[in-house]
Amino acid sequence: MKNSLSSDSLQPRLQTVEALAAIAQGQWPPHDLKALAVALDSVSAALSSSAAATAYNAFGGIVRIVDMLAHWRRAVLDAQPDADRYLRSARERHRLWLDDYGHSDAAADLRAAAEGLVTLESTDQVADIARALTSVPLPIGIFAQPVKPDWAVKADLAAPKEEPQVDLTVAFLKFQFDGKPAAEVHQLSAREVHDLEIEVRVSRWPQDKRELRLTPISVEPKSTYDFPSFQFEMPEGEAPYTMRQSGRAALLLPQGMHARPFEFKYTAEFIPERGDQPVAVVGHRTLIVDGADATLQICGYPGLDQALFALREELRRRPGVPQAETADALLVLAALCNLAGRAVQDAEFKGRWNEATFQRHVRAELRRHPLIGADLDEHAHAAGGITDLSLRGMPIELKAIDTLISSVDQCELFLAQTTSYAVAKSKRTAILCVLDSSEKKTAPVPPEALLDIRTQAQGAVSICVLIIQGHLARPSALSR
Amino acid sequence: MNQDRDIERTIRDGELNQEAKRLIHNWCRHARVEKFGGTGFIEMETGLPIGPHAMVCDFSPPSGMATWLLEESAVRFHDTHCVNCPHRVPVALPNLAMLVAQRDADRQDAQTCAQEAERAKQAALQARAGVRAELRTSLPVLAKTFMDDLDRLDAERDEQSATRVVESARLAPEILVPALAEYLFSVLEGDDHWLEAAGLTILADTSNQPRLVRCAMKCLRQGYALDLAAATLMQRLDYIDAANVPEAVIGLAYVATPPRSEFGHPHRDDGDPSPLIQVANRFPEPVERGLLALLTQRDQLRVGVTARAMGLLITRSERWIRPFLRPLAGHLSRLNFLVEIERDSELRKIAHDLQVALAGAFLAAPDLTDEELMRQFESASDEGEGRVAGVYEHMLRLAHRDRDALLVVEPAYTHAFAVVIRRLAALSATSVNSKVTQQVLSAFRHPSAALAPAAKAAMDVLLGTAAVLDSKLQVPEPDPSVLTPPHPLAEMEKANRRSSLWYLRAALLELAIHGALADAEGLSRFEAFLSQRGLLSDSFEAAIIREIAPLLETSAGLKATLPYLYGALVGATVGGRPAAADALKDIGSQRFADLPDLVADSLVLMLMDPYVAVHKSAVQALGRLRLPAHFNRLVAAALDNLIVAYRRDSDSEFLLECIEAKVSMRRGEGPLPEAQGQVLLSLVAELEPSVLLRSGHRYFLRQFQHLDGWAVLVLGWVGHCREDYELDHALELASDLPLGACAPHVPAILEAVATDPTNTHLCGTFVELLSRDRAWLGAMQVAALHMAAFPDTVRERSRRLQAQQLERRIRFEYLIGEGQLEEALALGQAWMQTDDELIQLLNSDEKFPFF
Repeated sequence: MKNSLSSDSLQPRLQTVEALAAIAQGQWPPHDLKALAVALDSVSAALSSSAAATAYNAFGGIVRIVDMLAHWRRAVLDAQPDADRYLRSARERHRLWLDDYGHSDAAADLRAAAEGLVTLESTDQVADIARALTSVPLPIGIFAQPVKPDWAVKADLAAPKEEPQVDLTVAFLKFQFDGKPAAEVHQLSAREVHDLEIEVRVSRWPQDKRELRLTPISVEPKSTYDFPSFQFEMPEGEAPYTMRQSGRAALLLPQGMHARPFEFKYTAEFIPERGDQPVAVVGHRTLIVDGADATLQICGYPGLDQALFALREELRRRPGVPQAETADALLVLAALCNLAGRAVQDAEFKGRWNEATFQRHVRAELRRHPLIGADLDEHAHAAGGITDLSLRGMPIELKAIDTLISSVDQCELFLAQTTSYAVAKSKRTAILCVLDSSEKKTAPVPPEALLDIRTQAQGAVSICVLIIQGHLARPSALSR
Repeated sequence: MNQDRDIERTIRDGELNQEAKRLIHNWCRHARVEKFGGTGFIEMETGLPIGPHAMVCDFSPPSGMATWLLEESAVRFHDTHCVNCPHRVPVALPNLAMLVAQRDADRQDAQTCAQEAERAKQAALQARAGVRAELRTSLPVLAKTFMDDLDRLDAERDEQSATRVVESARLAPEILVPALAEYLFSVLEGDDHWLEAAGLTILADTSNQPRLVRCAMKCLRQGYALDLAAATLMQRLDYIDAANVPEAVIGLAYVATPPRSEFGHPHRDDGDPSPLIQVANRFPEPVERGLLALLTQRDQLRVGVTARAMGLLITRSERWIRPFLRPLAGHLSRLNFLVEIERDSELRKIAHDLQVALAGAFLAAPDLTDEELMRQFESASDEGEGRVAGVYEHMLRLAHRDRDALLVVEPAYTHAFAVVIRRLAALSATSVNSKVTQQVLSAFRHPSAALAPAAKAAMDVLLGTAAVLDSKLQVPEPDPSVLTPPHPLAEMEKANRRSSLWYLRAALLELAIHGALADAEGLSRFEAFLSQRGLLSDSFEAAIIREIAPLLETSAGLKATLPYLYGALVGATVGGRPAAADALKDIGSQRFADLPDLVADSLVLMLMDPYVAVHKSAVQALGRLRLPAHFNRLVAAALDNLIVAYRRDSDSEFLLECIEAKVSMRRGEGPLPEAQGQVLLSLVAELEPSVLLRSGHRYFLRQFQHLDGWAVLVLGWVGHCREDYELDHALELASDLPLGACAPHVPAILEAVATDPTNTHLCGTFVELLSRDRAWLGAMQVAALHMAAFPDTVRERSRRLQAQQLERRIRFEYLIGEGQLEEALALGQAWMQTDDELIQLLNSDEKFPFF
């Protein structure tokens, strides 16, 4: 419950209106305007309503200006020396007053009433200004600003002073593996020891701290990696400080193709740990290390394997996608890439193919894969249409066309259909496999050049596009 | 049950109030009773008027006070307002006159007793003066003046007279002739107690020191001039007769450890332990006998003083532990049978004194004290068991106090605290007594960092006991019988038992985790336990993960526990996922930023988890943590799904949390876009105002204030508040409405004000807002409603005048705005005059005879 303001708060307001009314009638005010302005200021300070407080404060300022004008009128009429000094003061005060309240909504009416000050020339106009001010109603403040009781003020004074807020220390990190800067996803052979060099730049060093400790944090069990902690003694000289240290890092177990890479973060803290000394780590905040064997054969064609590795990284970087969905996509892609490789190596798709035949062929191809087998569905309904194939809900859209496709970009017109199947099945990944059975007059392009990823639905759905080259020309025919 | 004492007394007071209420209603048709404050359980159950009540009437001003016993307020009201009241309309007999007559009779009796006592006192004084007059004839001239001063001291008993006598003897010791000294001794040895302080001082240098010491011992025994008597004794240890010591110990104990002040802050230096300690060192056997004899008395004051004195001696020397330990522990366990106690507060005080004394013994000899306490525990009642467990609870509380924290962290005491922790852990698993459980929970609540070494030492017991409690929690409840429906109280007790087990398990794990924070060894021990996760039950794993947050505050702890936390976060157990989210919730956004993105990723996936507990805890965690920006779109979509799913659900609290999480995602990105804001606003509008107007939502709800429709919504809430705090929160939201938002809604404001037009806070807030928006007519309507709400009676006169002043205040500004300056100034003058009248009225209302 708020406290009501003291009843004394109306008195300065009433007396000021009386004084302004007297000035408006050409008389000397019955109350001291300076004292009233001070009283209005104190009322303003006590109000809890910000609009009323602003209006009272602005009114106090105006009353001081009118006081100068009243003095000016009397000095001019009494032929006092340098009477205009009051006018100059009033104008200057008005200018300063406008600086404070020129844009305040609460003081808009007062501003309008005091407009006459700008064109003030003769003492007659002082009465007009005062009259205008007597017709400005002010917002009412009823409740007082909460005031701390005496005992609380005393307790505050007696309480020990709080330590000044500590500034945030910023630690900028850079890493090097075996002398090379750490990549975004760094490949590191497992079961081998690697040099890990760290460079730290620290913005400030708290006085009571001896050391800065950097500890590797990971969600992986400790038995799978061995990364060093770094400790830096307090350096000499002025901040910022740059420090380097080396250690040995090792991944104790290799990863499978479908496993996500190791993710490390180095947290920084000052030793001893007492007190609040936050350290914000910037720079290379997250160290992503892949221990999978890059020479591992996935589909049997090295070029396509490399492209699949790159595609895998891109699929993994998407936030909020279940790992199983990415693994399914890679599983299907591995089988399809093998098919794409064989299509070039053995010219498996001779002549023209229609979509139904191609679908039967791909279905048989995928079903042969022991990890896919029965999980592959055909003609599942989605978004009012029928998907060609799907693995655990992830759509695999197949197209067979007889126009030459030399780049993934040419498959743009099939992306929307594939996306709608993915969205309908609440999947973030889909596969589009296009068989180009147009008659070839040139040599085939490397199959890895026809594998890529496209994003749709504002980046929410990733479509892996693979083009299989069919109806290849006999190499000898190309020489004729 | 001891608590019945207070309940019975409260019911008795309620019955008295009920009767007083009837007498008031019979007294006058205009008289009525008003209640102040809330309604308690006993009042609800019995329907009796319990709590502060006051007698009021429309023909009297609102002065007076509400009293616990209504008859006190009624009699005072009668004396002030009812005597010669022309408006009184009697209703029936018996009425208030009965209470007034009873009060007058009591007053008469008290006066008679006082007169009797005064007569007896005067007679005794005359008799003593006669003795002194007779002695005076044989004294030298100087001593005769001294006798005059003694007469004055006897008659007036004030400080000034005492000083005069003492200083006379000090300046002129020769006046203490043997006859006079004999007289002074005879007074000290007699039954009149008026000369103790002065007599002991004057006779300090007497040649008969043994007699002086006997007098001091008598003072200590009977409780007169205790400090002086104790000091006298301390300086003359050689003259003490050991036979007198046992009876004088009560005085020494009182000087050493006086009772705590009811209102003041207890301070260690309140007493002077030196006399007791010196006498105890010199005469240990008699002091021991004296204190033990005192402890057998049934008087609660004596038992309290004795317990404190025993505790004091125990902290000074281990010699006192053996003789005092068993009596203290025995008394604690059977306190309600051994001591006469009227109020529960008295029982708690003595129990506290005994627990403090036993805690002192515990620090010095932990194993011995533990053994003795457990011996008493075995034969104690439920209440007694709770009090014995309170000793252990008190021990752990020592670690929370700044002044004791240093003591606790000393390695010498680690064993004692480890014994305490082990014992409390064992009690938590073996005892089904709710009093004991409460003590264990209280002891383990918010463990101090100073306890870490002891917690580390007892970590195995803590974790093992937590596992036992977990297995108890997993025991399925028997199906209720289909023939006899379960009794609601039995069901409530069953639920209480389960929740106690749940909290005990959490408390034990929290303390164990504190032990892990002690040092690297503690952490590795805890990690070794965590590594057996596969062998533990799912619920126990979840319970551990839920308490793990303190470990995440240090890098070493984070490194050790993050794999387990993450394992739970993405694990298959439904209990583990929300537990991990709960743990993350408490680590703060800065620490969260140190964690790998995989953790944030998993947290986001939890939003889409079909299990209610999982996605609810994920939303709660998201409300406190700030995720990297690239998750925003996904989080927003997940929250939208949850909002759609819970929109028509009964869990409106969770729906509000989802909306709040959605709004807080935009922190620092400026105001809510209109389209999104309107959707959320319409969702908020569907919620019950009571949900929204609980504390803590003001900042979040302010995000809607720039939207169309917000003002109407808030004004609607103001009109539908059921509790005072709801109205306060609704008015806070109304005060936050932007400039110009209230003016178009005057009818809605008038409707809201009409729900309680007497409420000054409600009316004043809207007058302020409408005058700010220059809606003067609306403001005047609100003020007019406010004024009309108070009838024109003597009782309501001051409130009506205050309301009238508010109305005039607005009209004053309105007339100014309309250019009616003369009328405005006249109104202002009227306002000033009424203000003077109001001040006088309020001052006279405050003049009320309290006693």
